[in-house]
Amino acid sequence: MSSVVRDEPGNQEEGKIIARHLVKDYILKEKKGLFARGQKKVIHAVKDLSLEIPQGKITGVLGINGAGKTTTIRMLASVIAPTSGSLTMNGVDAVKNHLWVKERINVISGGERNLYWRLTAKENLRYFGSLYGLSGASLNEKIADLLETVDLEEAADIPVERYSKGMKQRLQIARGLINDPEYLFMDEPTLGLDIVIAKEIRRLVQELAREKKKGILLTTHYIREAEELCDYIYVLDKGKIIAQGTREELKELFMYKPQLLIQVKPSDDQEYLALLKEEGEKTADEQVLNLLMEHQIQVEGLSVQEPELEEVLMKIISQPDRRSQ
Amino acid sequence: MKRILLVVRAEILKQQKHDYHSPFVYFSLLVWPVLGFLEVYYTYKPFEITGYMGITDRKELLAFLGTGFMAYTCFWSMIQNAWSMANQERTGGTLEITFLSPANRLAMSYGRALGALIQEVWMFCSFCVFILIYTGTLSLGNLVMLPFIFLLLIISSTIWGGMLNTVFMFSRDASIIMDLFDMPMTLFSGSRIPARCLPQWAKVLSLVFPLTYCLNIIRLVLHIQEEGNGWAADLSGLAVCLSIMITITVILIQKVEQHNRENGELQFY
Repeated sequence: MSSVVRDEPGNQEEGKIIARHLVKDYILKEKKGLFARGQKKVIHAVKDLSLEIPQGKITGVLGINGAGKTTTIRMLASVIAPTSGSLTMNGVDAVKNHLWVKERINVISGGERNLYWRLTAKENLRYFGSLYGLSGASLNEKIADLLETVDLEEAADIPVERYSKGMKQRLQIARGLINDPEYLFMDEPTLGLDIVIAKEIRRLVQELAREKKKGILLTTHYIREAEELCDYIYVLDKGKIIAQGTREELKELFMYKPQLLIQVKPSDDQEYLALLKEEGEKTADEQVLNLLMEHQIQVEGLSVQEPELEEVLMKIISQPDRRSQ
Repeated sequence: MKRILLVVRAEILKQQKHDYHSPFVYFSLLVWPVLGFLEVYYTYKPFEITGYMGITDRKELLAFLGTGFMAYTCFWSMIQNAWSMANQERTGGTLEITFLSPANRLAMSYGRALGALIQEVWMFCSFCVFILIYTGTLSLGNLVMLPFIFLLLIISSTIWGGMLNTVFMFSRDASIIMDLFDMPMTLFSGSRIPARCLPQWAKVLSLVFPLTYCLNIIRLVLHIQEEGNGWAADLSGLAVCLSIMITITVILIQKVEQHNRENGELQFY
């Protein structure tokens, strides 16, 4: 076990990861020819990011593609070092003591990578467990426990290459829990999964935070997911936090409003449009339905359409007064 | 120390389950080296054995090639495995995940080498031992030297393989190493052609490869074409060579970690 020297941690620093003014610049070498000398180009992936991840809570990071979510997660998980700023975990300098931090954290990414496909679930977990110094009966017990948690007991001895996407994702979660981390970084863990599996994973994430008191950082594309799970949310754009708030503030923050789509008989379209025009386009859903019933317009279908994250974020981005910074 | 051994063991088991899961894999690991061995043997066979190479009869030629191929296969399998494993681990995203753990990086590197070595060469080594027994090179009298030979090969190849694994972790474009080491190692280290037949400049070049010293020592022990510089010189040469390789590995592994923390390049493939 590695030992670290704490830089006078205050009580307020215990039980949380605190990032202050983190900056991450990547230096790229752009070559214009095979033998030409590359020109250095600095990419500012994350700019002046400050956030906190308390234990027992789910902290969300939302952002469109290229907002800097993955760089943020990789930096907070000590995979990459920040160019500047400070990062502490339970009061310990996480940049200087990254191996100490790695004992206490884990990362779960969406997608099907990060596992050995020719190995079975048990073999994968045994390998990753050994990297954290686990062995023997305690490791076997841990593996059995995790496989039960993610409901993969029956597929424990089947090579991962034969798993469905959802099963692979569940195994990823088991892998991420093998070292019983204090903090868990989840990078779009429900990406591309069907509703049933995604719901199951969300339930598991909640359980990990509420019951097992793990500090969870979750990045997601789905507003609903963030709304359902996160206690506090940061919205990133171009490497900067442009909005933040508690779960309760989410709807206000996002101007989140699902749209009701009403499908009427094609022959009635003109009539319906005329009615709406008459009442004004901002008529509430209930009123629209009443209106249609009053005029006996036959409704063929009803559906609720949730706004795309990109769409909502674009709204936030275009309203500078809503920004917290 | 327990944690280091756990990592090494985990790497060996992972290699075995991941890469050597089918009898066909073992079959090819035996057949191709044997074909290579036969190719060289039958290339030499039509020519009269004059003692020029320090080899006086056909059995001695078989023993010479048997030891040469056995040692060469150990070293070459390390190059091949380092390249393929690094590719697989990068593509699968597991390379970065292993670096996310606090596991000892050197143990990971040497564990991977040892895992590949054990799996890749045991069948062909058995074939070579059979050749050595057939030619009378190995007898009850000197059978006791066999564990020493294997120990020498295992330690040297693992250190060599650990260094190569680290090189491939450092750069995904390191496949040039395959070309840099394959032919020169075959030609200069004395696996197929005795080093004494080479010009002076080539003899100097052969000192770069730990395989040269290993082969000299093995042939000295088995009394085959005793062309080495003597026990002390070859053992010292090997020790220096291995020490340099360990130093390079330690420095490189620190660079890999530092480089990845700056640029996050272990995720690229």
